[in-house]
Amino acid sequence: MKSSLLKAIGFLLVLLIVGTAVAQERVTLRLAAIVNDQEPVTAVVAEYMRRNPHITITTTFAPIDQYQVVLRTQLAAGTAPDILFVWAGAAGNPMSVGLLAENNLLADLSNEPWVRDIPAGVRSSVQHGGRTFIYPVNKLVIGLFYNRQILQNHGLGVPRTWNDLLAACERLSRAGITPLAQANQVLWVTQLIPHAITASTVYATDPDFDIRLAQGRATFAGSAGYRDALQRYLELNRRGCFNRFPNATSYEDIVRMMATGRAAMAVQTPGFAAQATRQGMAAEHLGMVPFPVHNDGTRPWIFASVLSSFGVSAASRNQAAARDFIRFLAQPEILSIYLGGRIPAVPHPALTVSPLFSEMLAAIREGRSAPVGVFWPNPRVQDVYMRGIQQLFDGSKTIDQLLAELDRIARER
Amino acid sequence: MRQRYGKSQWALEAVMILAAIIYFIPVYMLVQLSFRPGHEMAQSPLGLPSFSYLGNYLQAWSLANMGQAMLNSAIITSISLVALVAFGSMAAYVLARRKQRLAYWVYILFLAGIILPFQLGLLPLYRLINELQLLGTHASLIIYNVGHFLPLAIFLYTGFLRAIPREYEEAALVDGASHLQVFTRVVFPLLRPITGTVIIVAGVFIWNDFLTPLLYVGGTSSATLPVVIYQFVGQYEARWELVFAGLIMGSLPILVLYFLLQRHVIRGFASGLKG
Amino acid sequence: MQERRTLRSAGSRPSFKPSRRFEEPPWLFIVPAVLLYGVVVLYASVAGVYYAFTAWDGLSPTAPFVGLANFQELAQSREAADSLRNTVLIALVATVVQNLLGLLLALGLHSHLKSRYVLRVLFFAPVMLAPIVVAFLFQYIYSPMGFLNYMLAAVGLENMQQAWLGNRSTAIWSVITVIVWQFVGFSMVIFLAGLQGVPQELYDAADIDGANGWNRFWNVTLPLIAPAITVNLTLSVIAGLKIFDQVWAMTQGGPGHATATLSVFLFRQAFLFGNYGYGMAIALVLTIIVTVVALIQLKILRSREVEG
Repeated sequence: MKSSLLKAIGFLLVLLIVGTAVAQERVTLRLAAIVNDQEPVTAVVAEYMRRNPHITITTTFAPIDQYQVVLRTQLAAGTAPDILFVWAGAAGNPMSVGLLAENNLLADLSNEPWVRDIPAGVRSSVQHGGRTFIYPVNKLVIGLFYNRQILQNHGLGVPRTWNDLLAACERLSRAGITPLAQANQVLWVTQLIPHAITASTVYATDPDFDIRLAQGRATFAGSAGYRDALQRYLELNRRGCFNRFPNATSYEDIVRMMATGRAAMAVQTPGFAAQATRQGMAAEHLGMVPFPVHNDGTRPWIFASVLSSFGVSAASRNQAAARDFIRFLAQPEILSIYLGGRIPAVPHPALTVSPLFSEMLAAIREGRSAPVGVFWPNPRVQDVYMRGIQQLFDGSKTIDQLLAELDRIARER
Repeated sequence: MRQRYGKSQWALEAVMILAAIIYFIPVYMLVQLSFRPGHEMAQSPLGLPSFSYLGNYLQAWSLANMGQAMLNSAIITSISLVALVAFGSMAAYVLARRKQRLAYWVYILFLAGIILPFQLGLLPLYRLINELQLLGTHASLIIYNVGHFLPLAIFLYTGFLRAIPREYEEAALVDGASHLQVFTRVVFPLLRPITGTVIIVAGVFIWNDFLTPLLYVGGTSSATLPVVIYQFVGQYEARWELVFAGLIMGSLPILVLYFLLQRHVIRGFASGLKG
Repeated sequence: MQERRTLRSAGSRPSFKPSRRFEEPPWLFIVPAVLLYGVVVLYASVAGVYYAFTAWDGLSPTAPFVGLANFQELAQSREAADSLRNTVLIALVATVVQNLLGLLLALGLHSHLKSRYVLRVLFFAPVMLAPIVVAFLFQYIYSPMGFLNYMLAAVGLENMQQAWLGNRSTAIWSVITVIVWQFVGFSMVIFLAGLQGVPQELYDAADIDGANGWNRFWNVTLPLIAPAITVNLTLSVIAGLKIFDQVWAMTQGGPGHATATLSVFLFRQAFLFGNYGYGMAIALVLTIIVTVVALIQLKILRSREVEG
């Protein structure tokens, strides 16, 4: 009677304990990153474990929004993984190095050997208060991808000026081909074209715009370059440069449009090339150039910013091993596994960049690049920007209203 | 009482089947896309699938490393459901049979759990699970699942129990049975239909849950199916045929469970409504 | 055992139960449920409510107490008002349409149709799909070059083609359609259950009185399935007011804020913008709204059940 109840409860407890025991395993290092980097991280981790058989690294990958939720929760509870993916910049991202270092959540890596190799232009993105907290792996760039074959078939060269681009739009759309595939249903994609333009129209002459914005010494509404970029964005739309219904178009849609030759060009980041070729696009047809902004022969600036970066949790009980992994990652032969031909944040002669990105690399080398938006004062500015662009496209907001709202949000902490 | 199968019956049958076909188009598309080689994706969305092409399924299975994850999901879901059914039905038995005010208020307190947004307790619970050193274990998710779905289980069980007359229990008690014997031998068998309902409704949500497993067991060998599938989806985002194949495989076990429990579900709802 | 039982029953049992031997089950039976629920939901939620009165950013070691400041900010927020409007619209329309369609399906399948068992399974199947599956699928269907626009073109209705999820006037309706599509089977199953509880004799009696189909439905069926209506409307209103997964996975609340709900607003503030305290304030307000709506609804529906 009574004992059978105890038996029942005991049985459930045993089940719970067995479940626990089954799951437990000796873990030395934990690493978390966004799912976009799953392939290279997995490859590097496998190589590390091959060379260090006494160390086990377990990995977690999640889509960006879930990654941010889970990591912030773990950081707040003191259970963050030993090695974590961190965004560069001050406070523009919920997982940016500035925010985390400000709260003493990252280990100070200033004394690591790789710190001295970080180029001056990148340093501010990985530091907080003069100390270095993350190792930057690659540079994210935004540029104009094009299908060489389609352009040739329509007697077009690669667009080098703004007018070239408009002319290509006209000829291609008359031929029934989408000139620029644009996926504005996806928030992060909305900002790519304006970032590509403001790199030239704002940051080329005013590289500290974001810093001054955070200090209250600059405004969006007062920036002719921002207004001009948004006006051009809408002009491209008016002139039929984009696919029908950009606001309803997903990233998968534009990859497919590009891969099947229904679109000739797209303003995108390097990952787009991999996705398009995976979908069957011939790699030799794909090219990438800086987005053409000027008409007078001035060479455009590009958006370039540190993307994949790794730090060590301050709460990690395996500091030495975690630092060792990052030192391992920083070696050129390992970096080249991670990069797979993409542009490194810390250049090294032994690293080869894919010819696809050679013009982007040249712009960076010549100092024609800017980390647009990376130093915006809080994560809401970017959110307002991206959603505001969707609203510009569906006519529920004007450029003036958007710029004013951006200024209002930028003033909040 | 049976009507004959006349013209109006045939008309109704035709209308219902037509409605079902239209309603089922999205699911059909999901299935047929998962059976297509990648390069055919751009073709007409309604073509007939070549069911012989299993490439996407094989590829998704190995790329997403689904075997271990499916085992974890099966362990976590089944133990959660066993505990949920045991604790939920016992608690509901007390709440349905006791007439005191306290029983009513405890019942109301449980119902509040249906309303509370889970985000409210997300962080405090995570901290607690951490202090109990349960992170990364199946137990963390089992505890979460049972606590989280007890309100729904108790809501359904209590309504059902109120419709069952007490005479059976009284007779058994007169015969000298203990309360636990009465519950396990008399009451619980009567609850079988509603138990089917609880299992399928809670089972669907537990099986499909993503954020909590990611938080508690992400990156460990206990990771569940949605955690693994999300990683896979993020990585192959533009390859819908692979993504759909992976997603369908992930849903299959729960579909099978539903087919097995189907009769119990509808009957369970029926009897549970007379509260 | 015998003594204990006698002792316990001596105290509190009300006297209206005539049976002399019946005893209530012991409180012990409820202990595991109370413990688990108490910790996982009650303790955690109450601990979480505290943050609603702080300006915690979700990371720093201290959570400065700010009293009601978060609620004051919420009351003036334009975004909160927009989110509330969207939430109410989704909950209201989805509840009404989902239950009307669910009732029609249940009536159609509560019959002797040869296909009834297969059809019941077909209509219930979408309930079992994970939100991410549904989101992927409908992004594909709603895509500018997707199935829906393709079909419109195929039947010569090119000018009806829309940016279904990308236009502020169609996006929310497209999202509601998906929610209804996914959960209509749930409502159907509950109505079906209610219908199966209606004794055939009542219909026979109505037939003798010469009632037509509509009268039968209105006077016999409807009152008897009132409990099913209560369960259905209560659960779908609560789910509608809390809706997050489907919306976030399909539109992230966009374009702009056109499909943002209170749960989306909460999620972004608490976890993406580092306004954890503010996010918990939104969660608390959401709880209060859902409670009030659910209580009013239950009161109205229960009173109708009694009349019926």
